[in-house]
Amino acid sequence: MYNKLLKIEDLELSFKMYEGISYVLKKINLDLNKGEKVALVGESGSGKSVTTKLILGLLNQKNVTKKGKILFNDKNILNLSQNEFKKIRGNNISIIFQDPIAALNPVFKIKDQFYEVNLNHKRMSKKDSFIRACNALEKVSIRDPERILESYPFQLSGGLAQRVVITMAMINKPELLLADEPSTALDVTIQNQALDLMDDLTKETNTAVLLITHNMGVVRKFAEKVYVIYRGVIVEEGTKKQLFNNPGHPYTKALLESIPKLSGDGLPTHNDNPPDYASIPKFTH
Amino acid sequence: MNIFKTKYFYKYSRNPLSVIGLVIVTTVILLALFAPYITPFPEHVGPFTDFYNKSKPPSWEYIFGTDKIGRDIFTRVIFGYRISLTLGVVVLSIAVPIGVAMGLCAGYIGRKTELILMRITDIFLAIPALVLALSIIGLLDRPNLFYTMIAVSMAWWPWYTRLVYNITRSIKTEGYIAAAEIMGASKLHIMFREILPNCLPSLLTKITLDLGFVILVGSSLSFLGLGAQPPTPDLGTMVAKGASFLPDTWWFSLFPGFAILIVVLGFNLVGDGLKDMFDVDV
Amino acid sequence: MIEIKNIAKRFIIKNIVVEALQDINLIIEEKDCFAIVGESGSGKTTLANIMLGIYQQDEGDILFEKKQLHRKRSLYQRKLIQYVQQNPMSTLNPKKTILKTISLPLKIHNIVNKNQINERVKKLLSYVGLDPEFMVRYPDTLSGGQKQRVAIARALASEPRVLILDEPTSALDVIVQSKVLNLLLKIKEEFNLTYIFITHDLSVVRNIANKVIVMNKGKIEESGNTKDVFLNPKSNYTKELIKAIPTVLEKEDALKPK
Repeated sequence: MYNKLLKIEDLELSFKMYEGISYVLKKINLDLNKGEKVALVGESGSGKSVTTKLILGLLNQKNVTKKGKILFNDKNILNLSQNEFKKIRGNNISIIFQDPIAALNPVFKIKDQFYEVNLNHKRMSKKDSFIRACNALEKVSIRDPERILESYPFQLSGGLAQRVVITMAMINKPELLLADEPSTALDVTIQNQALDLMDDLTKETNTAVLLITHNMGVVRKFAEKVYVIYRGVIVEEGTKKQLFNNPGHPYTKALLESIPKLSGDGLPTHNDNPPDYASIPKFTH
Repeated sequence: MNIFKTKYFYKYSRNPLSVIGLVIVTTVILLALFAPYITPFPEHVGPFTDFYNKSKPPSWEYIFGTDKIGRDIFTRVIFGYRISLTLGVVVLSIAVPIGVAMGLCAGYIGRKTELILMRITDIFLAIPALVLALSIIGLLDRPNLFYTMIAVSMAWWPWYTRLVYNITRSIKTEGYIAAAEIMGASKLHIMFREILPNCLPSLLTKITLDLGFVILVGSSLSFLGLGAQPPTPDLGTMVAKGASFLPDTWWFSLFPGFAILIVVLGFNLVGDGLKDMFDVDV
Repeated sequence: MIEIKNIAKRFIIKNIVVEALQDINLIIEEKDCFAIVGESGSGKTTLANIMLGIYQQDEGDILFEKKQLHRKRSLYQRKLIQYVQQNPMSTLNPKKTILKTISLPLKIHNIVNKNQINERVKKLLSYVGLDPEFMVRYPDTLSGGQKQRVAIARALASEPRVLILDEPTSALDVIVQSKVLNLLLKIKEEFNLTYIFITHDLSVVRNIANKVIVMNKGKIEESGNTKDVFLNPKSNYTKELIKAIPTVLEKEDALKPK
C-alpha cells in the first residue's frame, strides 16, 4: 500500500456553467507505483488533461467542484493551498506539455528559464544555475549547451526545444513526471527521440511517469500500464501486453481498430450508431 | 426571444454596475424621446421669458429652479439631453463608417493602400480632439450645432480606423479568410462579410463608450460658446452661462453639469459591461 | 490532369535564402488519390500553397488541363480546384452560420439560383453525414469532426474536380479521423474527384492513396505507386520514415523495412 506513489480515489470534477453543470470526471481511480510508466489514453473531451491539472492544483475557479482524493505519497493533495503546491510543483512533481515552444516564455532566454526551475530546488546564483543547466544538457548529449542556454525559445527547432523542456523538467529529479501529449507536435522521426530521452532520464532517477495521450502507438512504445478513459470514466485498465493483445472494452477495441494499418488493407468500417461506451462497465484484466 | 433570458444578458448582469449603467442610459434615452410630454414647461425651450419668475431656487413647481430669464431649468435639461444624444448619434454615424471602411481597407489590402491610409490616420490622431474640433469650427462660417458635429466627427474616425485595422490584421491569417480567398471571393466581400462581423463586439463596445465621450467633448465645445446657439437648450452652454453666477444661484450650473455627468457615467458603465461580456480590448 | 514542371520556390528570411522547393516535377492524373508526404520543413505545404495560388513559384509551371495555372487565376479554375484545410478550429467564420458558410461558394460560382440555395445546402450536408438542423448553427457549437465535415461540404459546393486536402484529419481524434477518412473516400468515388492529399501520416497514406511522393528539404526523395514505395522503399529517408511509424500490432512491425 505504501509503495504507491500516486493513488487517485473516486475523483470527481464538475464545472458549473450557464447552460448547466458539466460533469468532466466521474469517479475515476488510478494508481502509480514508484518508477512506473503509466499511460492515460483517451480522445478529446475524455478528461485526461484536466486530471493532470488537478494533480498540480491548477483548477481553483469558483465554478469548479472537486470530490475524491489524490494521494501523493499517502497525502491527499486535492485541496492543498497554493503555497503548499508551489513546494511540490517543479520539485516532486514536474510536467511537460505538448507544444514545447508555447510552454517556454518567449521573452526569456533558455538559461533564465532554467534559473527559475533551479530555484525550486534551492537558492543559487545565476552562475551556478548556468553550470547546473549546462551539465544537465551535456548529459543528454545536447551538443553546444552554452549556445542553447543563450538562445530564445523561437530559435530552437521543435525537437530540440522538447528535449530542453524534458531536461528542465527532470533536472530536480522529481518523483512524478506528468507528460501531456509530449510528442504530438513533433515530427514522427523526432517523436521517438523525445520518448527515448524521457525513458532514459526517468529510469536513472526512478521517476514515475504519467503519460497523457491519444496516440496508441506512443502508448505501446512507452508505457507499462494503461488506463483507457472515455468521457470522464475509466473503461479499461491493464498492462501494455494485455491491452494490445486482448483489448476487453468495446471502446478500446474501437480505438485500436480505427488506426490505419501498415498492411494497407484499407480503412476500417464504422458502426454508425456506436453504443454508449461510458455505460458499458469497466474492463479490468 | 426574451432578451433578458439569453446567455449574453446573464454574463452582462454579473456586474451590478453594468446594470445600473443600463438603467441610467435607458432612462436618459426615454426622457429625451418623450421630452415634450413629460416636462412641465415645454414652451420654455423656445423664445420665452418670464421675468417675474426669474432666478428662482429649486421648488416643487420648478424642480431645478429657473434661470436668469425665468425658464424652468428642469425642462431645459431634459431637452438638453436631446441635443446631447443627437450629437452623439450623428457624430458617430459619420465617424464610424469612415473609420471602419478605412481600417478594413488598410488592414486587408495592405501595401500602398495601408501605407497611405494609416499615415493619414496618424496625422489626425496626433492632434488632440478638442483642438482639432476647434480648428475646424474656426475655419467654417459661424459656430452652430451642425458644424460642431462635423468637427467632432473628424476628430473621432481615426480611432475606429485603428481599432478595425488591428483586428483585421490579426484575423487576416485565419483559415476562413484563406478559404474565402481560394474560393474566389472578392476583396470587398471578404472585408465586409467575413472580417467586419468579427469586429462587431469591439465596435459595439467602443461606440457605447464613445457616446459618453462625444457628449462630453460636445459639452466642452458648447461651454466655449460653440455648438447649439440660444435659445436652444444645450447642457454645456447652460453650465457656461451659469458659471459666472456661482455660488449664489448655484442651480444654474449644477443641474446641467450633473446631467452631463450622469449620462457620461451611464454610457461608460454600459461600455465597460459590454467589454466584459464580449471579452474584448478596445 | 495536373502537371507540375520544374517548380522552384525561394524565401528570403533575414538575408538568408531558404530553398523551400527545388526541381519539383510530378504528374497527377484524373481520379488519383495523390499523396504528398513529408515532415515539417519538407516543402509539402509550400507546394500545396503554390497549387492553391497562395504563393507564386519562382521558376517552373503548373498546368491544369493543359492550361497555365497562375497565382491570379480565373474564377472557373477556382471553382474546379477546392481546398480542405488542416485546422478545423479556424476554417469556419465564427460569426457566420453554417448555411451562410456553405452557400458562399454557391453564390460566387452561381451554382444554383437564389431560391434553391437552402435545398442545395441541405443536400451537401447530407453528403457529409450532417442533419439539416446544422444549417442554423454557429461553428462554436460544433465538434472538431463536425467542423471538418462542414469544411468538406463547403469544398464540394462548387462542384470541383480536384480537392487539395492539407492534413485534413491530423487535428482530429483517432476514431473521428477514421470516420472522416472513410467519408472522403466515399465522396471521391461518388463524385469522381481527384485528391491531392498532403500529410505526414504514412499509415493514412498507405490506406487511401494510390500514388505517393516523399519530400525532404524541398526535394522529392522518392515517388511512385503507394504499394511499391512502402514494400520496397529505395531511399534511406523513406525507410527511416516508415520505421518510425508508431504501429500498434506486432504483425505490423514485421512489415517495416529492416
